[in-house]
Amino acid sequence: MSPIPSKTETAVPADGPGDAELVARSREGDTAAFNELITRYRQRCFAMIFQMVRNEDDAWDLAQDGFVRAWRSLSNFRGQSSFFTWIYRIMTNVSLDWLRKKRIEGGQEFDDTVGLRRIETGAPTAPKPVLEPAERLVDAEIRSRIDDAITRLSDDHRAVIVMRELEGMEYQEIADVVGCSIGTVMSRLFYARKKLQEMLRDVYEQL
Amino acid sequence: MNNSEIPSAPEEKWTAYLDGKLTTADAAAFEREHFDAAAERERQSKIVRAVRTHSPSPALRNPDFLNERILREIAPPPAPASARETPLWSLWRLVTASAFCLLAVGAIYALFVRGHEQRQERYLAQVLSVQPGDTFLDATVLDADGLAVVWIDGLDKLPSDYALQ
Repeated sequence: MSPIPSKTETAVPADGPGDAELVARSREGDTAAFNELITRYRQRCFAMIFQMVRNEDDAWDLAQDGFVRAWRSLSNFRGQSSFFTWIYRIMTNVSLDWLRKKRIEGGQEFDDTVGLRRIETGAPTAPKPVLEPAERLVDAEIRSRIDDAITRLSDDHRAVIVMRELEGMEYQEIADVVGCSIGTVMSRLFYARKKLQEMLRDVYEQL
Repeated sequence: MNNSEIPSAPEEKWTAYLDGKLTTADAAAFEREHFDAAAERERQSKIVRAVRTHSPSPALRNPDFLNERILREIAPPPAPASARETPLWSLWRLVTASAFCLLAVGAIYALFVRGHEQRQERYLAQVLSVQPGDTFLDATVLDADGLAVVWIDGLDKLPSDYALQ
């Protein structure tokens, strides 16, 4: 299985200032510099949060919350990791906090409504924009099953699955974001994949 | 993976194998050890493909509005318009005017309030210090043209310092 290329390398414009410069300016209170950082990473952060919370509106709000937290914590950024890794960690924590809060409020292990999602027809990332009605039904069914399966994973397992399988991050990058060892990341991946396999057995057997 | 990162636990080895992180020799050894490893990798590959295909992230809606909301939240509170536009000399003028007001209030207090209090105290002290020495006193009140005059007979002398100024 070949993992998709790592997305943690930033797409910094060739003629624009680097992340380090923008971060330095942001730390001095330059909101325009921080605005540029937001623009660079908003889509990727939003995508990761969406995969964690499985709801577009909540992901939007949490992305906003994450960037505000990042602004307020800029003095803590030492530059030991890339800015993206740092902000990704904040976004992950924001998502995990939200999931925990949601679970406590719901008084149950997992909330089925979290699995609901809305993707606009013809959205840029829609995988198959043109499908026959029968295919569309099957596609919707598979999507629903996968949604459900990912939602049923524990927070830690969901995080590593999202980062590894959907974001294509390397073990070390995931470890940096989650704040654990590579071994722990690999172990969590193993068990998360096992659970996904159990829940999606009938799905992948059709493929 | 390099030698320092060779997984030791079985689940770590499985993960490294499924992700193609083992060397060819290690992968072959792993497959000899686990007869179902290749089939497992195939199953895993299908699941990952399905997840990637059927779990896309939607595009961020209203991205510029997101920036705007964030900037609005992190921006420092704007100073009041009058304070922003007032030049420095106006502040000095304000300070001078305040000082004048304070001086004026102080002067009014000193001249009228404080002075009045002092006069009252002095008058009262003078009246109390008068001790008539005569045994016979006669007072007559004359009331004419709206003016009341108290006429006192019998005082033989007034103290030398008892003179209205």
